[in-house]
Amino acid sequence: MIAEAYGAVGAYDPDIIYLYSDFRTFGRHLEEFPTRAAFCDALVSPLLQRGKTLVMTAFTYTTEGRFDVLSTPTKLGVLNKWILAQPGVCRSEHPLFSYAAVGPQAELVLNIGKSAFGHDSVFTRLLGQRAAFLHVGRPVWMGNTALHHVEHVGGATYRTHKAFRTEVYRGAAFVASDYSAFLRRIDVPGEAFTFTFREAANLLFSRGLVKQVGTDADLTNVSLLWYDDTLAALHQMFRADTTIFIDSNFIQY
Amino acid sequence: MALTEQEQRLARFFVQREGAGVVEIITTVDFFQQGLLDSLDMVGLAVFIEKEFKRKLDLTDPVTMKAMARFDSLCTLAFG
Repeated sequence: MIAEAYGAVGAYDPDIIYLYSDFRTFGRHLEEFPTRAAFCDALVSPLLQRGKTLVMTAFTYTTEGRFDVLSTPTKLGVLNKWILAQPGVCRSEHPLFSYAAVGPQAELVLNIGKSAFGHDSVFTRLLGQRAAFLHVGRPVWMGNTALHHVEHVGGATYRTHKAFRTEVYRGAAFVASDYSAFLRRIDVPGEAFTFTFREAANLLFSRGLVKQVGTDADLTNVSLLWYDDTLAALHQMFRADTTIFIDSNFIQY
Repeated sequence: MALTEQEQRLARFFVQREGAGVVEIITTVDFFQQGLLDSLDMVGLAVFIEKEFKRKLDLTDPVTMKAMARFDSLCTLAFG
């Protein structure tokens, strides 16, 4: 059934799928599978069997000490943990915001730039690659990490660049340190700069950029957004309103 | 901090998965940030609460999701 949903939204057309998932509803089917891994396999096999490359977040938020690309577990969810256990998985080296990929183009996440959301990040490498975002059970309005790339490139004044001394290893081999990220400022009294993607998501829908089956309300949605078109739209939205991604009207002059 | 009898019944869900040591931190951590709960675990936890406390949770409700992040608010959901 999930294979049909993928087909209905066009998930077999892109070469690279950036996958978001939330199994609060689809997880009700877990008991039909012998293991968690089998459940995950069933969800992604229609894509992998068609030669797609899957990219997922594998964030660890390792702000100090040591980050091992090969062994530091992700703090994220079900599929994020699953992908790290797959043979042939490639993982980027950023100690806070690493990405994992499997499939023919998985190596695109390797030797990643030091900026989490800027130059030579996953977000710049996916441009022009026939990539798409696929949301499984996770409504589009819940957010998209690409907005931080848009904020970075667009110059959001409610965020700041910060580097980390975390030492990155690939097993025994030292890779580098001083990776950076564009993070929420914490020096503005009364401002938390909590992100919101509601308005942006509504605009993406109204512009016809989201193909979806199922519904957000019961978390049965399968939604597809082409990567390049989505980023172009998000850049345009940010140019029009530099506070569209936060719950505040703050601008630092 | 000693757990009440009802809290211990709820804590059993986490002890079965993480071991007895989890009781030491259970009242202080954010389950999602610590990686103790993911979306499949939430389904399992909802089934556990339904069986143990006869409470049905709406996992599609953002308020429920937020409440499941911490033990005290989870207790309110389960038997409060």
